[in-house]
Amino acid sequence: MAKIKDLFDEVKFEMLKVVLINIFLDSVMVFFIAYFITSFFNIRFLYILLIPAIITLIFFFTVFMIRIKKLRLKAMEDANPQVKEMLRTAHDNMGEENLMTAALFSELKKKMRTVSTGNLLESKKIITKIISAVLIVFLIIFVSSLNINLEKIDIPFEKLRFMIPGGKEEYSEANITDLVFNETEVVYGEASIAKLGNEEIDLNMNPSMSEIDFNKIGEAEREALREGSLPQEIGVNPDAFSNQEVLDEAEQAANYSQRIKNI
Amino acid sequence: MAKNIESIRNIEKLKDTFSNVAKEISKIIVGQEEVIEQILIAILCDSNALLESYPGLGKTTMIKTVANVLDLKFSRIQSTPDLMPSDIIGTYVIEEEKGKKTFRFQKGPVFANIILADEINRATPKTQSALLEAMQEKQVTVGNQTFALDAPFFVLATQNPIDMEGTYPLPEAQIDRFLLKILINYPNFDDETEIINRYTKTGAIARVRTLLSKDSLKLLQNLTRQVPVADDIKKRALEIVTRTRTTKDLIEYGASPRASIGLILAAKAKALVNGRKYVSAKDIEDMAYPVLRHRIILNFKAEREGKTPDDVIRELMK
Repeated sequence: MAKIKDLFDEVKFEMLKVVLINIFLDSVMVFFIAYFITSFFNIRFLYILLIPAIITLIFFFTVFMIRIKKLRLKAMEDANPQVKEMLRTAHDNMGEENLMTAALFSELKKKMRTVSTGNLLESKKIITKIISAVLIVFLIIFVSSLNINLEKIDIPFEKLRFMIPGGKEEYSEANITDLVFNETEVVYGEASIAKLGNEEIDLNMNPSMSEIDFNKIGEAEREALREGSLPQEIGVNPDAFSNQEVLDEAEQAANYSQRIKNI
Repeated sequence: MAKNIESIRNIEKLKDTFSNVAKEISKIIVGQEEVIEQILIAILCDSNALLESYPGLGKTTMIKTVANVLDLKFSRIQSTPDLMPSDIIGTYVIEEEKGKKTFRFQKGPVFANIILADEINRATPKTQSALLEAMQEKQVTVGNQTFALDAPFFVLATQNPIDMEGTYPLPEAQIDRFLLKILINYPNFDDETEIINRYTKTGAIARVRTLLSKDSLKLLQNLTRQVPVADDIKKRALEIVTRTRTTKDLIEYGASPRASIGLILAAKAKALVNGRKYVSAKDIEDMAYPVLRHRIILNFKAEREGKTPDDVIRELMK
């Protein structure tokens, strides 16, 4: 009697192992899918890992609780139809003590030795899950090489802006110089360009080669921008414009600068 | 403990034992494996069976062979309208010894292990009752003396489905006492060819070996009752029997609780014969036909539609 109870406990333990293996594989899939989706957003790498991890943990525990509640002998029977009736009969006659039930328990034990975790696992499902996980991994690698970034997607919750790399510091209201012009006023250049940060760019221009080295973009040295320190190569051909035009433009530029200062 | 293990090992060999018994019987009887299995089931259940077949299908030979293989004493009673209860049970005869006359009980053919009551429906109800009492009580009473019958005791009564004139059909209450109603059909072409070959040549007809002793048979009868049954299988059996009482559009009278007992018991014996230590749903479904077919009375509608009890049982199990 005690031995057959042990046998049923053993069976339940095997089933628990199967449930865990299945949920683990499902969770891996959920993690990869969540990672794949979050990687499209322009959020910090830490959050790209953290969000899928949280989703996966929630999924793991929820599904584990549900499946544990459903962990009945029926699942074992469904997995092993060849011992279905035998298992059920043994279960219903655990209290009986006679030669036939003893023989039944003995046979059941022998059969259950061959019915291990491997038999309970649905190999097709497992293989499908593993292949799917590998495919998702390849997809992630492939998509990451394309450097797709959904930067322009607005995060609907203002509080989640902290996830955007450098978002809070660089795009805070205080640091943005936003110029808005009335339609009647003269504007030089496109209005969108007037949205400026206070970062200065050090551009090294080589006129003979007509190229710009963007690798050297960085914080400009204040001294380098002082009057008179401009390189000799940058200049204006005096014959290109009349003096009056130059003077008019200089005046307009001075007015423009004055306006900017007053804002 | 060691004895227990040994017994379990013996149980493991049961399938081979029954397989050998069937093989031995098949030396004489060609085909009819299902009928032989059902006869064995009835014997294992320590019950009786009603055999219905046309004449000439080898009923007597079959029972004789079973008796020989199982080491059981066989006797045959040919029922006729003038057959008296004393012809079956036995009677007191006057015996004279050294000038002194005494009554001595002369045992009738009922004192055997396997009785073939041929064409039981030709005997008068009085004689039928005497035999049925022996079947039920496993004892006979003559005058004021009671005689226990030898165990195992098994009656196989036969009746023909044709030529019913001048017969006394068994009342339903008495038919209910038979665990199974076994139907023997005509053999198929190949089997009949084999029968012809076997019984029309010169040379001795094969002899059968005794494979089981009386004691072994008693042990097996005891084991049959020990075969465990799952609760849902019991429920399935009860559902089938209960439906015979509730399906009023086809059945006039349904089966009694004795049928429920019989169905479970027969299913247990079938499991044992097939070497299983548990009753399967298929055992119940297979045994539902021989257990129920003589216990239900079809109504006029079912008869008008030409349905047989087996058709109705099949419908009940859907």
